[in-house]
Amino acid sequence: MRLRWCVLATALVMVVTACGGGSNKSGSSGTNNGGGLGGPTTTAPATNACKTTPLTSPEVGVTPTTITVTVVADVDNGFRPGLFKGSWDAVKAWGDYMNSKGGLACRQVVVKEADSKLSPTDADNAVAAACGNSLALVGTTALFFQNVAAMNNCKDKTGAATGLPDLAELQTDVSQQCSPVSFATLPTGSSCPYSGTGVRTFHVGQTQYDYYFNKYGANTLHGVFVVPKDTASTIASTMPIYRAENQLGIKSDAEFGKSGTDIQTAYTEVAQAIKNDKSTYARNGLDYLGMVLERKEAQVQGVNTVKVWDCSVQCYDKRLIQSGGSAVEGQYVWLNFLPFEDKGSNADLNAFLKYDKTPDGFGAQAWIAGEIFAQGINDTMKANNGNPNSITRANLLTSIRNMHHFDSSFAPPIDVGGRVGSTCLVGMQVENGKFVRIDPVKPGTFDCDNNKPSITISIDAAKAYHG
Amino acid sequence: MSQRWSNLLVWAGTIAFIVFVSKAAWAGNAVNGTSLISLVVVALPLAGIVAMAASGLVVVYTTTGVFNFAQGAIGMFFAYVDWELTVDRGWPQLIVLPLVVLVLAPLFGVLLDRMVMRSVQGKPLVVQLMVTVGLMFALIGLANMIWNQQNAHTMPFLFAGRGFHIGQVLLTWHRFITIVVAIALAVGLRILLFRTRVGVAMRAVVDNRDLAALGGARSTVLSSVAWGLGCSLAALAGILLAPETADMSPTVLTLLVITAFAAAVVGRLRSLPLTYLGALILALSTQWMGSFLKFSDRWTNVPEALPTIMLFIVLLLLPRAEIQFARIHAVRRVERVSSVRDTTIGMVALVAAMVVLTTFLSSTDPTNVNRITLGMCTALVALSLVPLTGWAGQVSLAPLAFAGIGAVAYARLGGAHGSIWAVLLAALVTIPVGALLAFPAMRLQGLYLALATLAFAAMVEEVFFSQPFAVGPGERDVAPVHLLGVDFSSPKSFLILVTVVFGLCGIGIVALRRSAFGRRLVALRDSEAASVTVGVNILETKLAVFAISAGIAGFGGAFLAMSAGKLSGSTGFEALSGLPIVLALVIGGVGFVAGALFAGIFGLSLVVIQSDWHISLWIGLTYLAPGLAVLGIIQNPSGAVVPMGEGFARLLPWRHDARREYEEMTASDAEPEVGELGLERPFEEADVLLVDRGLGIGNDVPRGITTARST
Repeated sequence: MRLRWCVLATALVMVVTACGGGSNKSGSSGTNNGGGLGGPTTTAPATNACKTTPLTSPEVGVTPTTITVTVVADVDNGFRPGLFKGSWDAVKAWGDYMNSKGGLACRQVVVKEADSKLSPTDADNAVAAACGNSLALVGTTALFFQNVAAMNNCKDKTGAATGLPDLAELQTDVSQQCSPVSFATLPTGSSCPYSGTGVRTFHVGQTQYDYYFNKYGANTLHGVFVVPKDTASTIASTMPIYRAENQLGIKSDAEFGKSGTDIQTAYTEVAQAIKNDKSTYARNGLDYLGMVLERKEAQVQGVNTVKVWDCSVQCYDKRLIQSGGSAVEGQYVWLNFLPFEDKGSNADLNAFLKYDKTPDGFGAQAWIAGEIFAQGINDTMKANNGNPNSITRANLLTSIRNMHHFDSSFAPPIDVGGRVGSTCLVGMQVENGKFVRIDPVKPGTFDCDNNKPSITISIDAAKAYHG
Repeated sequence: MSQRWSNLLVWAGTIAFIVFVSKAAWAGNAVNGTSLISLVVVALPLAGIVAMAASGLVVVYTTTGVFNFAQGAIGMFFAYVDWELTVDRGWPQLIVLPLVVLVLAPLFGVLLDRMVMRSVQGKPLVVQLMVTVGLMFALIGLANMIWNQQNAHTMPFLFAGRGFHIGQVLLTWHRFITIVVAIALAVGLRILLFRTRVGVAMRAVVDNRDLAALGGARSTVLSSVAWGLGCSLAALAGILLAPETADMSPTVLTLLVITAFAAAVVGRLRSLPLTYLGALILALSTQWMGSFLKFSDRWTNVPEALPTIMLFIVLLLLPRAEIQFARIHAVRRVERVSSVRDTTIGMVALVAAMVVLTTFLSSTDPTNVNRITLGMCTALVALSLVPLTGWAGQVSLAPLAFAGIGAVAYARLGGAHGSIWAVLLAALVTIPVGALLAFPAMRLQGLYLALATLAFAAMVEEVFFSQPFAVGPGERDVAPVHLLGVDFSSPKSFLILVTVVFGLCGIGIVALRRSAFGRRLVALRDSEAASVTVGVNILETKLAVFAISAGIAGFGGAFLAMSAGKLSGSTGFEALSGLPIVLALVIGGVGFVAGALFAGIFGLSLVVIQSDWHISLWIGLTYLAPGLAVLGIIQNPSGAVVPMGEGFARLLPWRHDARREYEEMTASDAEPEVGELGLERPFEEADVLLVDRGLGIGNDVPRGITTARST
């Protein structure tokens, strides 16, 4: 009898980041100085057409003056109030920013917020509503978006079941991951189609591990892994990463399944296992709280052998430091977007931080979803001779499917249409109560691991787990 | 089968189960002195916290007879108060801890007793339970409103996490203090309850309130003392637990106390030593599972189900409940039973209203249609409790468990293609499961039965859904049913279908109530003893009503699954999600079909408030509202639909009977209410005359007669 929702959230965000297997084409240390919104998503292509073409309403959610998008996110709920409010805020901020630059396709961007409230029903309702009033979903962050039928079969203005384009921040459910109209800002690197059970293939990047191997030496890391066991999907999305780490040479000393409702004493056995095996590596797939509890208990039990406390984007949260205090010193956190500490080094990041007054990791990714949408709109217009009345769901989907090199500059380039993520990351570490950039050190850049390809893992995650 | 053999069977089964599970899931870790010491050192603080929380439950229950579901929420709330004063305002813990535990929490307990809990004593069990559930929701809502959950709330350990080693494990002073405080409390409470006048009186009150009153015990004062003490223990447990949770999530802190239920039941809600033993067994078992067993695949959630499995087993080991004699509670007046004709008219009106409503609702945005559909499906599930809890008085907290089983049955037996047979099979599959639960119901009564159903629901959630034959790690598609060639896949048509189904079930339920079987159910609720004497077969009747209830819930579950379109794990059928349904039903009226409809509408309105009113106060109200509505239950345990229905009926020109009934009721309201043997208040001369008049006796009673209390 537990409440699973609180843990589910960031456990899956982690997967999105770590499984974002793919390749990078911009070099081993990609530098992004802000070409994103300043570049591909400006309204420049439409400037002349806006003056000469009478604007119509070619699609649901598109009027002569506005383009409406909906951001569906789990926000108000009793378990973690305001869970993904960062996504709402960021997409709103992105809309404001776009409007300050003249809008999209000669129209102002209107952002509708829909609350999926950690509920499949509310997610369904939100999507169904968006089908009737929005051109697309942007920054979807709904953990229980399981029934994608309404999205896949959403009818456009002509009555055709074109589908509702979904530029999702999170794709937790297989049906969303494999939907023909859903595209993630951070592709999961998992194979489609997939029945939901049995063996599945995943791609996992090596960037952070190569950093560790370079720093601490190959074959020196062996450790304890904590699996978020609250739901089948958290297990399914975590195990491939752990097996990939094993394959890369980080041996498992022990693996534990932990729940999001576990208290600190539940981590005593984890700390003991680390001490017994003199583990040098520790990874926790739960949200930042899970890592805080593990680190605090390790501190209490006098663990001092761990060189790498590994975590992904879910730990890039001010509350990690607030809650963890001195216990989380040295914590590694890997991001697939430029950290907020890079403010001033990148135009997109600056815009994001200027317009979003409450920025967080979820917000950053939702902003990137907005950028992909803007790129899709501009590509659609380009493909239709700059016609601002060519904005339909069908055309937008075509543009997105053909978008194979999206470079927002705030995040590394990804193949949106091909659903291939980037292996480029930014490494951060907690030092003296602050997140400090450690790889690469130069602000505004990513570590792209010398274009090293991601590794491929095929496992039945449910059977691989022995927590 | 005798009690002895029955217990022996349960014990043997339990031991065999433990051996089997341990063997099957053995992780291969060495069992030696070091590992066992580590296990004990880790388990003891957990046992201490569970024991403290369970003690609070026991003290309150022993003294007031109220099982407090809000015990965890009270602890959570005062942990936040402690955080506010120590961390946010910088006051020293040395001052704040006594202030919160010894002053604020007891004060809250006394106020709670005077303003709410005193009024629920003597009310039906389901009302008592739901009042505390409402309080739990209200406190969670209040905490969310006061303390912004976007920020971290971290309570530091006492002595900054320092401690000493026992074996390889460092036992922090905080955890050591937790153990010591738990032991000290055990001793202290034992002395209080058995060696002091107050304690003895507290125990006497729950055994027989009236008898204790005759002995000079002031039950109202004792009740306040118990609630003050219970809240104090809750606060202490909450404050000691808070540093272990890192961010003090209100929900997590609140629900951790569910674990304490099992410990408290080990002590049969009376014995503190056994309660402590229960807490210790629970903590050791949990650590044993974590350290030496590995669960995967379909059994992944078994460790989480441990407290509820233990609760269920302990409940099965309880002595068979005796049929209670001389416990016939006076009812104010006989409830009015709707006629089948009236219900049919009402249901036709409901369907017609829904048809009209759907024409006004947007076709492009089905949000509102889907919400109403969910409300109607919820009403259908709530309807399953009307005969079981409303009429037969068997409190079940597992409506969603049966609904979940029905949903799975629907999905597996043709629901993926919308087969009509699958709907019927969904109901048929759940019927025997419901009947099975009737067997524990024969052994258990009242609160124990309610807890057993909650444990059953939790086991279904944790173990059933993860089985490959149910849902497993993947998902199952569910399609809306096809009926006579009609496709109900559009939201509006599906809503109409669910409404029609609710209407038909409602009419069937009312017809059942008016049958001989319905009268047997009510007789069972009023007095099992009396039922037996008039020849009611209790086993048969309970078996039947559990089966009927399960069947309706399974039916409702199939429609819930259709409205979701997909089954994914236990999502939507969690055990605790069933509590708001029971709560809403009790607010509406647990004995009425309209009460079930009210439950659906009530839940729907909260959804609308939360979704569409982007004002933080209103969002907080979605939690506070059930808590506030509970106050209404206290005033009117029959439920909100009774006065609403009566008021509406009086407006109908042809309902002379309703107007006449109202006039009679108003007249009887003017008369003083007769308490049980006059012990609720002095039994005065006027009362004697009233009784005389009721019994048709002449004026031959000597003047000046009074009761023991009034003399």
